[in-house]
Amino acid sequence: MLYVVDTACLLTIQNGRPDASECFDGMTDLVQEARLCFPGEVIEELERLAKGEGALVWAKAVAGSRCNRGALYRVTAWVLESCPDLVDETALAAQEPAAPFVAAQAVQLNSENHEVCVVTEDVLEKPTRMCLRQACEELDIQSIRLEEFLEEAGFSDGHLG
Amino acid sequence: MPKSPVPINPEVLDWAMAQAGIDDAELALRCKTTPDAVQGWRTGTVQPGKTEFHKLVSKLRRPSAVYFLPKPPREGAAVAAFRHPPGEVEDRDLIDREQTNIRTAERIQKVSRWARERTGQKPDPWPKLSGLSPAQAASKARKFLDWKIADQFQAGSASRVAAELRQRIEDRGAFVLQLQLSQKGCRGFSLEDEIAPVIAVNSAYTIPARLFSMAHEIGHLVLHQPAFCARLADANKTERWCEKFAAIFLMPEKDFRAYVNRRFGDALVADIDDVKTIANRFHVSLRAAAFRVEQLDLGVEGLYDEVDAKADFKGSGGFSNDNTTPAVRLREWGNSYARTIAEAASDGVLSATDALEYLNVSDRQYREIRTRLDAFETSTEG
Repeated sequence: MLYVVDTACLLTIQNGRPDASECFDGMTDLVQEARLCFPGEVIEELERLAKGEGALVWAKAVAGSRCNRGALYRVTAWVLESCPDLVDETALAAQEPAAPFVAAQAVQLNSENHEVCVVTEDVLEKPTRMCLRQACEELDIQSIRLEEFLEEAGFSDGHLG
Repeated sequence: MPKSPVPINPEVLDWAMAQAGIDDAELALRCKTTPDAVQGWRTGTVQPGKTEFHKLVSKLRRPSAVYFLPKPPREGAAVAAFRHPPGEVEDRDLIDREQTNIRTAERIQKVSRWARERTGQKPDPWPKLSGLSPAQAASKARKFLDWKIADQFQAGSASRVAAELRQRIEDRGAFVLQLQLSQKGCRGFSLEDEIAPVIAVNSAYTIPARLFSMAHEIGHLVLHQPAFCARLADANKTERWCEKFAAIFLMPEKDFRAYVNRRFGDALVADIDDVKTIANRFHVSLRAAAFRVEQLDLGVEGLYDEVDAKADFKGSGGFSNDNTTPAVRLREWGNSYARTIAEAASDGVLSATDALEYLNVSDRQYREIRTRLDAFETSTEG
């Protein structure tokens, strides 16, 4: 399985898990085994939301080892043709939610015959855009939440702190 | 032809440029290309390269994903309604700062309304006071906001009065924003809504001027209509009503006459120094005090015009030692909005990441905001 993780998932590890360090170490192994990746827009989003903190430090440390660094723009355009509500049209200048790009990366990898699963904590309804979990459903891409991912990946007991 | 053309939607680019008021030449300069190339991007005959795309995203200040939407986003209702602000000496379009900040206010309103609907925290509706005279409406509004002249006198400074009035408005469920609309920008605007009404005032104006603008926008809220307020006392009937409303709200007739009589006896208010004395007492701007003097026929002829010509309502807008992001966010967007988001996140209605997005802060800054909100609650309870 090739996992594509989003910003919300990484922030949940950083803030919600006493074993965050172990989780990130385990995810580093997955990145190096080409079993986990994320688009560059996740790093940019973490620069805004987690400057100097664990999730960003980890993402930058493994960025160069990713098996895929992001989808082609034409794939992003295709995803947004299907799920335009995934874009937050009200987002302020310099705010770039990464969700559309996570979805696009998953779609592209899926089209390249990888078995793909998006790991996301972006699961709640929100006022200004569709959540990533719903977009994955509409794009027919498998998605799971962090707890399930940690159990599947086998390097945590999976219980959120 | 660029090595890696970016397949943006030309219709969206055209829309974004129109929204920003940026033409081909200006965007070409920013993207280090030619106006013909930009025209080609807009018509779809050519596509930008990656570097050019990143530059245009930066210049037009929309998320990059927008350019891949199948059609342009809908314009916010307020931006559309306010596009050509009335009441200016010459017709003008919204300036960039105004557009950006109206969009910010609309987003704040949308998010707050949504959060309040889901947390069950709908405020009491604001009174509907259209059909009343400014004096009648001001009296009812003062009761609704529990605003007394004694509190105004005791506040000690215009900034204290403004902070207190902001608090009362927010206690009644409206959000008060202090936005950097620039010295060329409007005085303020209001966005009407049953659940999340919004007032915005220009932080480039002096605090007394902002206080008056706040009272003016209260007038629009009790009339239950959105408004964009560019100039003082223009030809628009509603604007004149709100101007009178604001003056009466901050300087009720009985208290105003009593003070002027005590200070000047039977003599007319004669000059700018007299007006300054009155303005200081009520913690309002010179222009507001002169306006009230004229309304109540307590001054010499031409006094308002004299003050209007000399008084400067645009200034540094106050000074603060604390310009950290949490402090600025609370100062500009208000405690009430921050609290609405924090409570929605605590209730699980919004995710923690969404709270960061909607406050436009990092995780660390959000924790600081929560600390400040708690400290404020503790200080007001005590």
